[in-house]
Amino acid sequence: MSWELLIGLAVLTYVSRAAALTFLPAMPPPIGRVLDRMPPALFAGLAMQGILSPASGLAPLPVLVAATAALLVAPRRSLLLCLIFGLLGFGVASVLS
Amino acid sequence: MSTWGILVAAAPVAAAIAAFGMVFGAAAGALIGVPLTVAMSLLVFSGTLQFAVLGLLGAGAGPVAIMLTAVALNARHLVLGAVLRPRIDVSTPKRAGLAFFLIDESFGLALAAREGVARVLSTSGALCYGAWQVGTVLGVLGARLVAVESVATAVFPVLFIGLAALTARDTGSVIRTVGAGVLVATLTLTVPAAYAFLPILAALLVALPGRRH
Repeated sequence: MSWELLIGLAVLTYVSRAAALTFLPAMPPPIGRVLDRMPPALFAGLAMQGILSPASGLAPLPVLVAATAALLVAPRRSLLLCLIFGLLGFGVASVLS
Repeated sequence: MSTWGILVAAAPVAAAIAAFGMVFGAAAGALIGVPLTVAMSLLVFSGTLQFAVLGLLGAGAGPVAIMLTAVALNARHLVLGAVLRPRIDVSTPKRAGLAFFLIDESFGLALAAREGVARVLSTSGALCYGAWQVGTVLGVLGARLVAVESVATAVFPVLFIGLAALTARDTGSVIRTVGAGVLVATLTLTVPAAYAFLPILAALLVALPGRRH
């Protein structure tokens, strides 16, 4: 890891954040509607990557229980509730397994 | 939403981010040294990318592979920025400043807010930024708690399930969200080489079908 690579990563990351928010023009309505539908699906995909990866396969049981517990309260649309129930599920499964 | 209300809403997320930061600081400090570790958290401020870089460095990957992975992982910021853009009515310089705090968590809280989206983004983003720095420094200093590392592995999917729940607004969103999760799982098993691109690809595929108006 070099300082040049670090600066490159920092610039790339900032540009990716600023591009659409700051510099690019507003999207045409049809594209905007598609983009509006993407965030929850994107987060679901990232959540799945925390559960399943090519390198390590399926996550350990306590992580699966945590994810299931969070899913159970997901209809309440509360991030705090998902975190609390997820951690509770993780704690219980860790003790029992 | 008041500043206090934003801070209260973002506090649990910031606590989770601090735990991630601690794990990152401990792992990165041993691999790339303290100065680069602290600088990376200060300048990059992206847990997903920073952990991925550590994994790649550990596997002996070169700069090109690391930058390509960064492009893949950062592609989602284009979507998040484009979604928030029409909801934020501030000058271009202010947008440029806000962009630094555009992370998954601050985006989710800002999108869920009915008003003051820019303030929610900046306040929650700044709180998360502080939490990430504190966590990184504690990890570098040796606060390597096995319990924290263990919990962090569970917090990652739980946090994103919470963000998905927070931003899914109707039945159609829920169906697309479940579909994206299933699609990522299927593609992870069948096309592992495209792993870093899968969330953005799956989100795009499930978002394409829908009503025009």
